[in-house]
Amino acid sequence: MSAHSQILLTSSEGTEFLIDRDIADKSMLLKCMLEDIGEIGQAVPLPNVSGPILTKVIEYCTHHRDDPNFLSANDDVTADIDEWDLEYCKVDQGTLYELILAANYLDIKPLMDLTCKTVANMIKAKSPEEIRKTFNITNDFTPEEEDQVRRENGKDWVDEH
Amino acid sequence: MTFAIAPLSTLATLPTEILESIILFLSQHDLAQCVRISRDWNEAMIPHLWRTIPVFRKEKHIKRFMLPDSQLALCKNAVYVRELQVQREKLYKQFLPSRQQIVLSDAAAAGIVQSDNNAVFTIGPFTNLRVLELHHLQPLRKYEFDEGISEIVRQNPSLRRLKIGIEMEPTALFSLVTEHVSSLQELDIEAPWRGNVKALLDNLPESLRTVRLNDVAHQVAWEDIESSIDPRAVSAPIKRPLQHHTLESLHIDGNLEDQEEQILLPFLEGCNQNLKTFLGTRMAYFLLSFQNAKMSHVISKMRFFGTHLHGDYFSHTKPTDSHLAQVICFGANWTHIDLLNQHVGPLTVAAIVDNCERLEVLDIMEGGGPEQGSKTEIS
Repeated sequence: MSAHSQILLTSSEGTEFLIDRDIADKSMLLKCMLEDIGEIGQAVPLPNVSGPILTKVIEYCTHHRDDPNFLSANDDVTADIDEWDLEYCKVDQGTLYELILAANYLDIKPLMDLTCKTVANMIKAKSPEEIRKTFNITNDFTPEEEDQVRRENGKDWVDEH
Repeated sequence: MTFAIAPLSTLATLPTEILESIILFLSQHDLAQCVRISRDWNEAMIPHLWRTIPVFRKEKHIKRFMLPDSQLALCKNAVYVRELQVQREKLYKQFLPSRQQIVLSDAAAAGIVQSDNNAVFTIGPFTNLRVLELHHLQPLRKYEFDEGISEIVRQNPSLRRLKIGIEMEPTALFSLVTEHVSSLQELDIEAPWRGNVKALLDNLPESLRTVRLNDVAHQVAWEDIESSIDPRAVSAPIKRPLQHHTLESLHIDGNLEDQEEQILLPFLEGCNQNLKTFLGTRMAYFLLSFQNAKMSHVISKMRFFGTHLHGDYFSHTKPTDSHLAQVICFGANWTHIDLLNQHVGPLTVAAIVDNCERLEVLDIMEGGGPEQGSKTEIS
């Protein structure tokens, strides 16, 4: 294996992506696969990932290619997200969910944590009405049901600290 | 081959494993808001909100669970609860099965079995608990909660951690921890237990990794195996105990009536090399039991001595200089040795110098007198 070896990936639409081996290695799925079967010189099909999403994933892995703390980057629940990552996640919700699914499938834990944390931050410290607005959800509870849910699971008995 | 990803309309329709990854970053307060969003969100988030029952340290938290609404909610959602920590008499009464009969005036709201004019329902049952902690309690009537404790443990075969801080009748506790917790990994018996310690140890589940017996006193009267542990019959064959190969940590405090060899030795032999930590006053006894060739042999095979040796281990004994020297030779990994309250002679000093290559801190007073005291730091 040379230091500059490259891997060919195929997205769900059949678009081909040529990436450096060290970028591919950020994905545990690809890393293990390449270690197990070696570089076979053929494109690796990724039927669960669309071209635009794969482009985004490669952008993330390329930006973090020399990050020594890559694997422990975002697993701290309380830590702030760094500026580049914050900007990277400014996408519509559909794209964000697809990124989560792709990160999960390709097994890129820091990207998984980053995208999940981004969704969580859209929920955190908000009222139910604000959350509905953020996620464009219609409240389908009757007023009586909503009142009952609030009383049974109300923040009153949930201890924060 | 191509295939399109199904459109994701809402967060609540994400696969469960992904939803769980997001929920990891949410507090219980956030989850309590989420269940109020919509029916979909409610369904997806309720199990996560109820996974852990918050610890009740303050009176106002306990009072919350006395409200009809929260009792009803607990009844509905008990199946999701994985961790339950019970403290205070009120919560014992409320959470343990035999005490779970609660009378609600609002029968319609409960929608549960009606008897006479009141709806009677039981909280729970909790059936998916992984962690059950019964914190310290001195009940008004002794053994009052034994039945309820046995019941809740039997209802939860998946228990991984069990802590018992309330004194139970010895046979009740014995049958509980030897018969009904086959998946248990952590056992912490904080309350006193008076019974046959050998029988207890030998019959503990083989799945255990950590065992802490805080205050045991060996008494055999209630179990008919006296013959095998009679100190005069040391040569009698000892019943083959269960193997505890996964056990990593054993902490035992209390009184074994000087029958360590009959009680602990067979157990330790069944523990294999995984046992890394052996703590409590019984360890001190072991450290000083090298005169006995059989025990000395087992001890030398084991690696369970920690890295810290403290003079307090010997608070009930008066080790001589040569005793201490032998103790030091047993553990090759000591990093901290503190023998300020012990008589340290030349043999001990020689043993430290010869054996303790990893030593970082040494506190001793040579000759036992403070005026000759020396505090040494070795880096």
